[in-house]
Formats: sequence, structure tokens, C-alpha cells
Amino acid sequence: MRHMLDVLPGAVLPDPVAESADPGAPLAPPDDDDLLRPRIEEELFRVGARGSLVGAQPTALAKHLVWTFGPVHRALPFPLQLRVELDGGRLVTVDPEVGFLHQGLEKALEQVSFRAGFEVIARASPLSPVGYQLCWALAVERLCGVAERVPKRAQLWRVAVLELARVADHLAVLAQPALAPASARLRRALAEVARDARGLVDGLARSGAFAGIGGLARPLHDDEATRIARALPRVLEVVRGVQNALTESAALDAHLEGLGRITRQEALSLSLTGPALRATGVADDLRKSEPVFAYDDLPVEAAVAHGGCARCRGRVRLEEILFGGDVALRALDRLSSAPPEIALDDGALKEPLATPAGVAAASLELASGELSVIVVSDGTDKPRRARVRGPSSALAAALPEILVGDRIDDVIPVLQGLGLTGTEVDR
Amino acid sequence: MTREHAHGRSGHLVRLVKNRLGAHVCTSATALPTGDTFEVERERLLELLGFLKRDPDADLSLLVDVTAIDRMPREPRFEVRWQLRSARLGYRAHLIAHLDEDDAVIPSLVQLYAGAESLERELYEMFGIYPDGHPHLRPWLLYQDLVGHPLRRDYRAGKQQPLVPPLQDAKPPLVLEEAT
Repeated sequence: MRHMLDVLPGAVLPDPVAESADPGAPLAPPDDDDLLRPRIEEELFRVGARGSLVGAQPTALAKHLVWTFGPVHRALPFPLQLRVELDGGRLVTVDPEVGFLHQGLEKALEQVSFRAGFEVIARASPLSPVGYQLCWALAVERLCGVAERVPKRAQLWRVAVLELARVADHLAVLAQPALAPASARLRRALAEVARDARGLVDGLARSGAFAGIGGLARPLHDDEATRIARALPRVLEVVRGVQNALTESAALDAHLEGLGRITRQEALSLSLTGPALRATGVADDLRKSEPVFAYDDLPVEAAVAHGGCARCRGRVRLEEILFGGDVALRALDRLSSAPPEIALDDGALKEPLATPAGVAAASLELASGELSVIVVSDGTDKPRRARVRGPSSALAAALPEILVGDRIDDVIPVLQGLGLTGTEVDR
Repeated sequence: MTREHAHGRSGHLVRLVKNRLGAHVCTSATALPTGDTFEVERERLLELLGFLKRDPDADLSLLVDVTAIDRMPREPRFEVRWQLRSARLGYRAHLIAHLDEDDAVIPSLVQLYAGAESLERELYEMFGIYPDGHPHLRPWLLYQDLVGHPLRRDYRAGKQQPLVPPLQDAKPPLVLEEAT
């Protein structure tokens, strides 16, 4: 009897003629597709249930294995649930579920003063909070109308710490096992300098110096600059070695070729920024297009690759480490010639800080893309509204388009290469 | 003069819209150093956005953010802000629409920007502003059974809700019979 499922597209129909011709003949070996096809064929799903997005097709009935992956799994970068439909080993649909780390940061920011906001916003990215704190500082300074008058020394320190954080964040992504080059020596070297780079920026970021409005909250000793200027070139030397090795032998990162591929139009439409966008050939970098702090005095280069896959994103990150390290060294070098003031001495910034009523927006280019902060004041000492949109949010929302078409075993390298931060997505 | 003015960016989009679309498309247009700001009627939003996205001299290809400000008790209560940016030319624009509480509906931008999908889901769950035309509206950061819209000003910050709703036919707690 013909089963209802047999007439559906994708079903393997038994050939009645062949069966009756020679019943004693050995069965033909099943093709690969049959072996991979999951047993749960009773379940019917609509392809593209999420289908609402770009390139959505009208629904068609098919039989696929539906697999819910996460939210807690050691291979996942953060608590994230992926409900995927599999055809063989390929992902047909991906539906990400986020919010498991939601901490109500935007509501929490409305409850505290502008200065206390530094402590709250740092929780959006516990590993690398300094970019968030500086973006908050910039937004509040714009609200108070002092952003253009912050002393040069503070601006240079801000650039230096942002670039150091970029180096450390990129290295943390690249040194992950699923992404690192296929060479034990290079992998060990990358892991080692990733720790070194994190050590360089962590002390600075956690000193509290960058949680200040109108400049640095506390002075940083010149020895700090000397220490970083001495240690950073060694990190960059190792990264340059890895880059040369990858240029010489393309096999070292060939395992990432074509994974998580995304086109330029898709990347733009999905609001992707940072390495994910630059890997599709768009030379978009806020440090160049909207220079803040001391960026307009320093030569900034944007790394670009063409291809839009995990390999291109990795190479963009590798190049940005070198560019970013260079900018950090130049900024530190200029500290010696900068005037000694570290913070603005302005009556408007006295405690308690009461900003004029208004709306201010600020954006910074972080390692994974654009961070955008909006602060609204109604003239009191607390924000009326604070909006934080980090780069990982757009990346998490774009996971269906990035992952569909890949094999299930490629999900982890793609996720790791995007540099997603869970607290940044969920806030 | 701020840096953005010095770069010659500020005011470009305002001039472009006035020259090509006419001043009537928005209720006000302001050139600000952090991006040209347009206040629009909700009904003209898609017209203005479509122009700013497709015109090669504006090319606002990136939807950076969609969010709202609750101005309670002022009327109209909500101020929805769309933030857009050109990846190629470096322009930035903020579009603002004012909405009353009992008519908190905006047109969905998913047809123009796929990135609006999650942003509008978040806008709806946090503020209760309904994106009309959104293909699959469901919570993004919160969960289905949460009651209320947490980023509204009248939602108490310390309010707690159960993650799982109580069962309808839950058994009453077991009470040991008292010893007679």
C-alpha cells in the first residue's frame, strides 16, 4: 500500500516494476542519502517556518529531522538555543532563541545616575567592558556638550585602550580550537599571545580610569604606557608570523573555506557590521567614517576581504590585530607630547551630574562591529532612557542566513568565528 | 565647529530630502553633528526610508537600531527612533515618529531591511509598539507568557513574574493529617 508520505517531495519511491522482475536478486545498496535520512519521518514540517525573512519562499512540505540544540552546551559560545531542521547533515532552517542571559540592563540603566551607569553598562560585556564604558562616556559627554573639549591625553589613552581591547578580542576569537590554523605550533603561539594581550588590556580596563565623564576618572602612570609599548610588539610579531604562514600555505585555514557564507547584500540588509561586513568586501569602519576621540589624528586602516565566509572573517580579524596594534602604539607614543590634563575641569560635570534635557547618540567600532548607545535625559540626575545595541545582537539575529546550507558539524566554527558575546545579545 | 561639520557630512541628507522629495515629507529636519534627524508622520515613514535607502547619494544601507522612548506622562507618549547609516558614504540619519499610547502602531521595515525583524520583535515586547506587517511577531529576549512591556515607564523596575505560569489543575499541596 502506498503510504501517504511516499508522494511527498523528497521521498524515495519503491519501484514496483523492478521489484516484481526478479524477486531473488540482491537488494541494491542504499544510497548515502538514505543512510543519512533520519528515521523520524512521521513528522512533517514546513520548510521556512521562519520564512518571513529575506529570500523567503512559499512553504513546501518536506520531511526533515528537527533538532533543538542548546541552550546549554559546552560547544556553544553562550546560552543559545538553535532549533534546526536537518536534511541529511545540512541545515535547512535555523531558528535561534536568545534571551537566556537577559538581565534588563536598559531598565537598570534608568534606575541609576549617569556616573553609576558605567558599572551597569560594563555588564553588557564582562570580558571586554571598556568599549561599552567609553561609548557611554561619549554619549553622556555629548549630552552635556563637552565631547569636543575632552583633553588630548585622555583621548589618546581612550584610543590606545580601545585598540588594545580590539587586539585582545580578536585574538580570543582566533585562538579558539575550532578556528585556529591547522598547525599545533601556530595554535599554541596564538593561544599564548591571546593570554598576553588580554593581560595587557585587562589591568587598564579594570583600573576604573576609563569610567570617567570628560576624561579619565583617575590618572594612569606613564610606566603603564612604557610597559604596553614594550610588550605589544611581541604579540604583533607572533600574529604577523601566523599571517605570513597563512599566506604561504593556504591549507592552514582551508577547513574554514566557505563556512557560514553570506553575501554583501544580505550582510547589509541584516545590519551586520565589523569583520562580518568587511569580510564581504565593504570597507566600512566607524573609526574612519566617524572619527571620535583621537582617531582623526591617527592613521586607521580597515581590513577588507572578499568571500564572506568564516575564513575571510578570520583573515580580516588577523589583519585588524596588526592595524589596531599599530594604532595603539602610535597613540601611546604621542602621550609624551600631550598636555598633562587628563579630565575636563568644567562646572557642568560636577557631582551630582545633572545633564540638560535632550537625546544623545554615540557609536564606536568594537572588535565585532558597531556599538550604538542612545541616552535620553529629562534634566534629572538619571537617564530617562538608555539604549544599548551591541554588534552581537545583529549577528545573533542573522544566524539563520549565515548558517542555512552549512553542515551541522560546521555550526561551531562559524559561531566561534563570529565572536558573539551572550550578554551583549541578551543585555 | 564640530568634526562632523568639518567633514562636510552634517546637513547633506536634509538638503537631499528637501531637494528631491520636498519639505512636506517630514514635519521637521535638523542637521545634527551626530546624524541628520527627521521627524516624520508615521504614514510617510516608508516613503522617506525607501528614498533614503535607494537613492545613491544617501545610500542608507544599514539599519543600526530601532528603539523607542516613553515620554509618559507627556502626550504623545511614545517616540520611536530609527537609526540608519550608509556603509559606503558614512552618512547617519535618525528618523523619529511620535505615537499615542492607544495607537502605538508603526509600519514594519522587514521588507526593506531584514535586520528589522529582531529589532521590531524587541520593540514590541519591550514597549508594546506593534510593527504592522511584521511576518512573525514573537518575543526576542523575553518569553511568551510575560505580562506587560518592561521598558515602559509604568512597569516597575523591581517587578517579578514567574517564568512558568502556574498549572491550572495543579494539585493542592499535600497536608499530613493531624494526629488525633
